[in-house]
Amino acid sequence: MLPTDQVTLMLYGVAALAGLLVGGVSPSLVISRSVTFALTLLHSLLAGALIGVYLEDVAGVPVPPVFTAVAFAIAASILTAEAVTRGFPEDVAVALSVAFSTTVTIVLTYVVSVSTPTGMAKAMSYVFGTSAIATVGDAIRLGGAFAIIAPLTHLLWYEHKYVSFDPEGAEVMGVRVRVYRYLFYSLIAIASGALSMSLGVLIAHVAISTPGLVASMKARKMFLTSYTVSLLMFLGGYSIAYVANLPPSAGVGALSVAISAGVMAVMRRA
Amino acid sequence: MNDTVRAESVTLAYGSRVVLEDVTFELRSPFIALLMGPNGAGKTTLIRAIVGILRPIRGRLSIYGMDPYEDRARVRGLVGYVPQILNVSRNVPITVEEVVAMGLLSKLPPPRLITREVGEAVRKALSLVGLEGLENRLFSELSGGQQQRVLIARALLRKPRLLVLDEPYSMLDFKSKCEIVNTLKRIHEELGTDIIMSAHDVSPCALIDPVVILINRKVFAVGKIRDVLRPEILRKAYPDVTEVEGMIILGEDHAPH
Repeated sequence: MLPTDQVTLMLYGVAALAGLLVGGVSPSLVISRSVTFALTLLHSLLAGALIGVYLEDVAGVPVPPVFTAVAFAIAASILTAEAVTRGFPEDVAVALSVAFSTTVTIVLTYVVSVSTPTGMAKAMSYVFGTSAIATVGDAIRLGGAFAIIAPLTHLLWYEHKYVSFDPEGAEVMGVRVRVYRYLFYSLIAIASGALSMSLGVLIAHVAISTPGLVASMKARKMFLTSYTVSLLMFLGGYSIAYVANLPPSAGVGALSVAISAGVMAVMRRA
Repeated sequence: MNDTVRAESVTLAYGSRVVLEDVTFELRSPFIALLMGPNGAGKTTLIRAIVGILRPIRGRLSIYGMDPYEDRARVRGLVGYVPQILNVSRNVPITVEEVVAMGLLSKLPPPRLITREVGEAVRKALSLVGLEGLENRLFSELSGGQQQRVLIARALLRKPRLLVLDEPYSMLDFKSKCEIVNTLKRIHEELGTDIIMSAHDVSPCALIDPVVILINRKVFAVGKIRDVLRPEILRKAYPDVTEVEGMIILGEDHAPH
């Protein structure tokens, strides 16, 4: 067991990494009008985690569910991106990939529940998050995801804006729209996967949209606003969870909902 | 490279649904051409083929001697494209400078940063369309006519030989339509840029006397306004047209999607 000061350090370290990860990726999610895309992630991460649980607990293949969850989320993201590229409206594309993921989830839920007594409990921890406040594993996962995602999202920010703003015009100008769609959806899938292992799929998909939604109201300082809101949301959320002895998903979820409600109130007045 | 834009018996389709059949015309530089026809006539489809997004299922399209689909990279180096304003997402928080810079930055590898030189080129392009000083405004804060001119400036930054515009003045009032047409006229005269645009409404274009290509799933006529806009031709191209005391009334706009 870690001494208290190290626990505190770990807590705020993990919260800060989660805040930086979400702050960097959230504007991309929002400007591509892909908030409904979070539904793809919600369902695909769960399906992927169940595949991992099945492989690990039933088939005896030592593949950590985190890898299968992220891999499946990337596959579902590419499926969505391809459907959008082929002319499906995004909500229809999302519905297609959600249907696919949900089918996998239903089948594997049944298989896992009849095959192993602990499998379902393990899988459900990916839905609701773990009760551990912060672990070294969280820090490595979130830090690793941040190291991959942050440079790419910042380096390719203009491309992402162009593709979101005018995909046909961007294509005629020689921007590889399909490649960028795949890349951005995959980055969001990786971020969501890393986050889901700590917070659970349900809260991760809400938390990943919230800073971008606030940032879209401050168009000229999107990243600064997104990072600020995200850091406040995660540092505050983890603090609440620590003090109230709750899982971190509860603290972050509460703040995320409060921020979203605040944004809605402001926008309604405007 | 020759100086003509030519379609020879071109048929265009989305999957098995044929949208335009047996389209033939030839435009010789310098030209301003107007693709005219009712909603669903195939104007946007033909424009998508001209800029190399859509491949004809039959026939041959040639842009200055090159196939726009097979020689995409070369043709796109010569073509500036202005999409329908309705197809552009006005929710993306993007500044006028960023939109226009896209014309130049898309030619460069990432990271595509707006350097001092790019900023200077953006300002020049904006002054060509009469929008100097607006580079720091958000695109969404501009009027419809200004947004259209920003997209034209973006296309001009690529120094195109051919400017292709899809419904450049849909959803605009008549004054704004005339401003767009005057801007295009100036570009054509000062830069020698060939122009192809689509529209429902020919009246603002009377100022520039374009070559009119009248289409509705096929070509009905090609020629100057006075030769094409004749009642007997229009009745064929616009079968559901409104007629009041012998006058044919055209000029409906697209409804917002």
